[in-house]
Amino acid sequence: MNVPFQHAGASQHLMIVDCDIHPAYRTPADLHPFLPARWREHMTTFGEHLRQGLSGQLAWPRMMAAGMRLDAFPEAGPPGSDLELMRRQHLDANGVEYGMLMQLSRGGMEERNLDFAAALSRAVNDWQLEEWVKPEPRLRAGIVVPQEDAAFAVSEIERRANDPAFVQILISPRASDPLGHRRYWPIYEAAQRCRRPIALHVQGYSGGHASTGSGWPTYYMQEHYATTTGMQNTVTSLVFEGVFERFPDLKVVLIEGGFTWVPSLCWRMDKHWQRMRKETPDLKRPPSEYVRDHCWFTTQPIEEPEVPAHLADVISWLGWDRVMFSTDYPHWDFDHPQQAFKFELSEEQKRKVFRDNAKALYGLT
Amino acid sequence: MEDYVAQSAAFESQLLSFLTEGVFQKFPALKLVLIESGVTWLPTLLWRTNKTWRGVRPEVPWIDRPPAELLREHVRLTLQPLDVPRGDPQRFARVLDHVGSDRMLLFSTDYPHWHFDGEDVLPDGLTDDTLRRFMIDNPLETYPRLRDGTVADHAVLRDNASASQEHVR
Amino acid sequence: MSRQVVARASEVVPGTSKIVTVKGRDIGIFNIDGSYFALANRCPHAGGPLCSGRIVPLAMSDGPGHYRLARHQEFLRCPWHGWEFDIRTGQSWCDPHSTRARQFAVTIESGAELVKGPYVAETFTVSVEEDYLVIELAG
Repeated sequence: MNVPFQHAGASQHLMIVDCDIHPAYRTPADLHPFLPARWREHMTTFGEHLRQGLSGQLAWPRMMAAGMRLDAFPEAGPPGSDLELMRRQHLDANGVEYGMLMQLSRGGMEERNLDFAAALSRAVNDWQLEEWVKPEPRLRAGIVVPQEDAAFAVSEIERRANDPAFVQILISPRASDPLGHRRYWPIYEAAQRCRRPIALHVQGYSGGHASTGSGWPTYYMQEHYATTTGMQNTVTSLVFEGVFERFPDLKVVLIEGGFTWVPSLCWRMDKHWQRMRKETPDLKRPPSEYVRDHCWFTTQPIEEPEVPAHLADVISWLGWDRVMFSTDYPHWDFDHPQQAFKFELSEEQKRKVFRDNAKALYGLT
Repeated sequence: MEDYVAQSAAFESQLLSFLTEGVFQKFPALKLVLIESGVTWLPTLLWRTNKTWRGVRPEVPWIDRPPAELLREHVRLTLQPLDVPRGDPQRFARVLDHVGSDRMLLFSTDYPHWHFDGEDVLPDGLTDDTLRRFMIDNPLETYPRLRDGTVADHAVLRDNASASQEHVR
Repeated sequence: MSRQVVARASEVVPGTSKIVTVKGRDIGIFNIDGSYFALANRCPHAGGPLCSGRIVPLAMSDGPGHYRLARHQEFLRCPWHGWEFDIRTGQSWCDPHSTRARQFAVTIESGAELVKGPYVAETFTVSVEEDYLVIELAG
């Protein structure tokens, strides 16, 4: 029989913070007003040159409407491009008090031409502000920066640092090197200084490296999981390269990468660090403590164990204050706030996961 | 250290490959043993493959059963090094609950590697039944040749070994 | 048990569906080869608008790498997570024992004998020869 429709998640009366919403362009020309003429022309004549083999295509066909909810298509434009529909279908309908925008495409994260990447990032950030945050005060933007050009990334972070519309810094977790690598450290320094978390949303193509440590997957079913193993390796890199030791106030949010692997990865890192810690003498503390102090995780796509209460075990090992609810609207594997949890949360757990953890992290009142 | 930790993620990716490419449909009697892979990442993989499969099944329609069921049937993992913190006797038992099977784990020590835990090779909180499963029943079920005695004749082993050495010379 | 007229039979031709509202419930009506089926427009997985999903065949296989489509127009894929439901029975293909979409009995009645539902009152008046679709609801 079906699991009864209990309101085990957010109740109707709890306003929520949604930590992952995807806006979209009606057409690529939406970005033109925010690009200098020279780059408008470049975009029209040459297009993007991404760090992957395919141009303008997802590397794996999604098994659902280009990866979207079928009911999220507006009259014109792709899902996420119509603010009115987003309001009606999601922000209003689901009691969203604040929504964190995750702009994935046509920013600078994947663009090989670094001058173009800089122009795109700047334009995407202006576009988020003008088209989304200003008309809709519930939304907050992320500073999109090209992580492969640390110098420009720092300048763009500093440029937006005084604007409360931008609450975090978006870089790709599938960068050319593992993100703990020193070449990305200026970005972390700027993030710490400007007091914004680094936001790692699942996306990108690893600059040509295979998406798993055992080669390129064949099926989307594999790629969907590869985002999770990638995040594990990203956390491992950040920890062992000493990013959290070097930047003690840095915060990192991992978005759409799953979270039930976190306790097991922390146990694994701790165990092997205890044996081999002489390899990295600058690490002063067990890896799990760094993760505990520096990392937050969003819930979507939430796991659905055969025994729902098993998920509660994992969250209590991870920490109820470290998990933040997200929907991933308008993607196909969207989590509905009232349906996502299949076991009953306490009132305090609901408040933390659906609202307070995010408000504390992002400084929202 | 970082590379060693990351090995478990490679095991996970390989499991997804075995699963989605239909290896277990093509070879229904095949068992896969993961050795020194870690264990505690397994519940996440079982839960997630089940969930994703329900949504993308038409992409891989040769998968005709829930992935967690297939994996519980075909995959085995060795116990050491075990990524479970000491000091909480219930921790490993909970992880085993999450795995949903006591048939998947095989006793091992990883002697004489770095990670060898000496005499401390068993996790806390194991019942005698579970211990027997790991140390005897699961390995015998996984390795048919151990079970049916094809290598019980030591004389045969000795002669074969001598013959191999002659060949090498 | 109450019975409500919800649509004309001719509005739901084979291979198509129509969502109607009856006493505040959204219900999808489907036509498979001339037989009608009705499902609650709420996916038992996570509450999505099930009946606005695509009507699809069932992808089956004789082995790795092989695809075969069968049971054309008999399955519904939820527009959110893509779960497949057998329109005839409401059963989830991947989770048949524990997940099922709520079903309603559908029959075709000729127009004159029915309680008029809010939707088709006008149509009913136009022609009593038309066949109407009637939904049975508990209560």
